[in-house]
Amino acid sequence: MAACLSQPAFIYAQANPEYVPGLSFGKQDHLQQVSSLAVGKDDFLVVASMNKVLIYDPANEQSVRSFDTGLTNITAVATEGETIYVFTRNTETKDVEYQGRKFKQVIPVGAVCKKFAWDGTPLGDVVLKDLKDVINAKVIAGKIYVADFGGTHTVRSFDEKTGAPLKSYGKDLRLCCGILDFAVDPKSNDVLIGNLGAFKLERYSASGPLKSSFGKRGEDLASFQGCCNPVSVAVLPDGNLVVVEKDPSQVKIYTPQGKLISPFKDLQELVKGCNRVSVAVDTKGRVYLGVNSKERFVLQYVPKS
Amino acid sequence: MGTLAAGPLAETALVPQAGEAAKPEQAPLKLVVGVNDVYCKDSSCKCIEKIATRQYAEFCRKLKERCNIELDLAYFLEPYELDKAFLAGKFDAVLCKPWLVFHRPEGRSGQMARVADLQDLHGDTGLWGIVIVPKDSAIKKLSEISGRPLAIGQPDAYEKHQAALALLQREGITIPNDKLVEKASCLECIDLLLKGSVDAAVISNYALTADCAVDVTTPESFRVLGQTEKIPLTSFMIDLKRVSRDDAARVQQALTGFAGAELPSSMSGGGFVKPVSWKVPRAIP
Repeated sequence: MAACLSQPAFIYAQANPEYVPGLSFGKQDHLQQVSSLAVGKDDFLVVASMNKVLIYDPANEQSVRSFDTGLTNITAVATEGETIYVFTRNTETKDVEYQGRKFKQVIPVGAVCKKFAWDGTPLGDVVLKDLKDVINAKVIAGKIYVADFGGTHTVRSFDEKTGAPLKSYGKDLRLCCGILDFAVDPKSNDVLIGNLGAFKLERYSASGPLKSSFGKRGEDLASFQGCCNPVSVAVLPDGNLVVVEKDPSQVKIYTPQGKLISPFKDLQELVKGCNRVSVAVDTKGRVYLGVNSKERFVLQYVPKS
Repeated sequence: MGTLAAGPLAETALVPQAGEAAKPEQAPLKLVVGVNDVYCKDSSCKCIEKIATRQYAEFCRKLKERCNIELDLAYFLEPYELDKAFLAGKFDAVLCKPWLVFHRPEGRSGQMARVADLQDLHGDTGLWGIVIVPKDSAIKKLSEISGRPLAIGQPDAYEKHQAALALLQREGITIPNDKLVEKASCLECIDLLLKGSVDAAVISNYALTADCAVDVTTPESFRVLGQTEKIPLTSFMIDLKRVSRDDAARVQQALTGFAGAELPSSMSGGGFVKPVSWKVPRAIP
């Protein structure tokens, strides 16, 4: 298993390209919302939007296929091989009182995971045992990783075949705004979590313990800003990290050790206020960002050759 | 331990002028205003949406109707972004924590005057730092934090840096430099405290009730050992190089002229009042 932190720095030194805006996906499909992103076989982009899944050729802004999942509000989409995994949360509304005022609060009470073939054919459900919530998910090497925000406030892994719980990642995360996003390093299976309330990007080893972290709130470019950030992360093919901040929108490339390499220039507003931003990368290092601002679409950034 | 900024102190408040109330027939006055208000829906985090409910549209409409003063508000969730835009000269006025403007004694800050303070949802205009320890901490008194690891704010947050250092000095408390940790956000200080990396922390008084910390912890998880001096939480500050002193006084009268039932409910109970005196080290304009 590769240990990113012990790899020599020169491995990453060659891969410091400037990123520039590429194509925009979903404008022609009039997406109501970009709920979640994943990259599937042949680097095709998989977009979850409300109840639908749309699939895009990375070289074409028009979707090549879409299908209705039967779920009213998809919270996460993930892929492995030719299988598409779609997730949502069951909820109940509860009356709560806060500082003397009464409010309705939506409480997650269960997670749903449905599998589909690449052409949209249903392949059945995976019952993830004792899971109350899922707001992000990845599937890697036979394991389903989910962000269990409403339940344990951790990232958890499950066996893809049996749905049995395996591990938890992220003890004592300082989460807020209903956001918990993460990435799994495909080389090491390390889990990277945006601990946004602590203004840190944290790396947990595949076995569970915290391995390293970086970040702080601050005015300089290398630091994180806003009321809580970063919100999401993805691992580039060279091991470097794409780290995303919501309002004010920032996307920056860092080394695995947390050294800032470069920010995305001319980045438009990805989201207004405190909302999640989905991010995915493909095998060629192209970065996809879910835009839920004035327009709803997927913004591609590509390495400038 | 850090030291307090030295230098001559100057008043930041515009001294209220005697005169007639602003009237609608007065010449139109338009101000571009940068806004970062803790309790405003448009400049606050989603996790306090139940608390930060203030919206200015109705107030601005009434201000225009009654006083012929138009406010063009630009909202900022991130104070650093507001600060950058302020330094770039984008505003005639700003509505934010005054230390954001006055923490630099020179330059544009020197020409700003506080014309009104803004009440929070409880009618208070103050901001202060609180020294907290976990509820189950063995530390019972403020004096017991002497010599122990302490998290405080950075110099751009007066209530949890300069005021905190002044409190320690007043109380004869010494924290060695290697045990004093400066963090830019209350959340980071709380994180260190909850992890046990520090024994106490100085945070803003509202941090546990009107900040992202509401999603992370509760006020009941901590004990408050002490508090710093009070300073204004949010002030309406006018650039006196761009707006005449007479017009600034007119804006002051207009903003503070909405009382009781005249204040739109969308202001969530907090209106503008005459600014309290607050002197800081600054170049005299």
